[in-house]
Amino acid sequence: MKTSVLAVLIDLMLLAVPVMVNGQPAVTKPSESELKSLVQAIQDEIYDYGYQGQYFPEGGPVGDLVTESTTRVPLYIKPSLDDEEGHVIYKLMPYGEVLRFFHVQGDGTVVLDGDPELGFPSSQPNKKTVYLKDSVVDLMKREWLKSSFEVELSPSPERVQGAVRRQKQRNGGFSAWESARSKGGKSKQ
Amino acid sequence: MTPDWATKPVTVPYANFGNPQSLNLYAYVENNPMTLGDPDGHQNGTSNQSKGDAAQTTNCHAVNVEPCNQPASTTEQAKAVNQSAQDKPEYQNPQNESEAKLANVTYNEVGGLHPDPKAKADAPGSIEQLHEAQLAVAEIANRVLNSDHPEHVQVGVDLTSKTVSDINAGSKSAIVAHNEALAAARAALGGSNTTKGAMHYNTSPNKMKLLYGKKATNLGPFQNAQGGKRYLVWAP
Repeated sequence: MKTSVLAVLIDLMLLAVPVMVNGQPAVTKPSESELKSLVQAIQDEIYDYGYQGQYFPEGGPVGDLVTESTTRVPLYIKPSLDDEEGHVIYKLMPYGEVLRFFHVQGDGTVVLDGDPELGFPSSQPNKKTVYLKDSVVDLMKREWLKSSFEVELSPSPERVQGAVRRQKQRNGGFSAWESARSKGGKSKQ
Repeated sequence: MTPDWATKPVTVPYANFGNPQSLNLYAYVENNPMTLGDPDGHQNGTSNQSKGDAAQTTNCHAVNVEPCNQPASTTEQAKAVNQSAQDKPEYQNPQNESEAKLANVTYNEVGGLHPDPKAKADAPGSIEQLHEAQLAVAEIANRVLNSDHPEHVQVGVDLTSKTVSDINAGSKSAIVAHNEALAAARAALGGSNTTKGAMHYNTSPNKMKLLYGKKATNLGPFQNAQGGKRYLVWAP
């Protein structure tokens, strides 16, 4: 669906410019624990959906190699939460770089917004950054908090099961890993 | 000839001696007075009024959209049926591929949105407005999918694994959202045009008047699963 570049510009300029309160930017820096929860949510989703192999294509890994089978991927986080809702930019393979909303729950758990299988289209709030203007993406990457997360090509079964368990807690009992292995499949379509 | 309950001989107003069936007291309900209506005891069974009464009686039991003139016990039964339908909504199957695809697109775009529980009827964010948003997406997606328009709907025409899992697990919210998406798809395929030929929509955390100016229609704010605000914006 068409999304005007202007629309995205306006939308994301609002995201990029901190709200001014009493003349001072009301920047609420996410806590260290919230950042850790965000990284865990991102990693858990990758392992639950089995996307980790997509970070290691034939031509070379996405991100910086830490070991032969671990890569480190940059993460850009809007330095404020609005009603416990934050924004993050990162590379989610195989889709590419995405702008994603996330929500910090009362217990500190982070839930990523949007269903990755929708493919991050331009009509959704969670979208590929290719639909945004380059200068806006550049601005956000400069102004936002910079962090990173690691992806293992072959995570241990314990790591995957931990991701599955937490994903089920986040997603009302749904796990992509379990769904792919169940007989339920996509029967109602 | 007189009616068999008459105390004095009077003319039977509806009798047609050329048609003996006109003397059958229940011919107008095809000898089935327990199911069909009998407003005055003299109504022709083929009249629209009688059919309407019969239909209303049937719908009263099956759908219970509005209160109807039934004995209290029957109304209570109907309420119970209706409550049961709300507690355990039945998955509505698309009748053809077009319906399925358009319903899936509609679900994928706005199926995760919920009405604001604090919104009054027809107010921004209300369930009525969410239905309006579903219909808008279905209409516009239908135009884009089935026309020579150079743009295209990006979101997939298949439901995601999570949605299918939720529906198969009997998730009330997922089934209701699917049924509502299907209803919107059927309306759109049937030619509804509440969006007056519009070709663009977008779900957004912000109102998008800045983008489309006065031509934009903002619906919402609705809520996503985590309570975040989301709008559906459409424009020509």
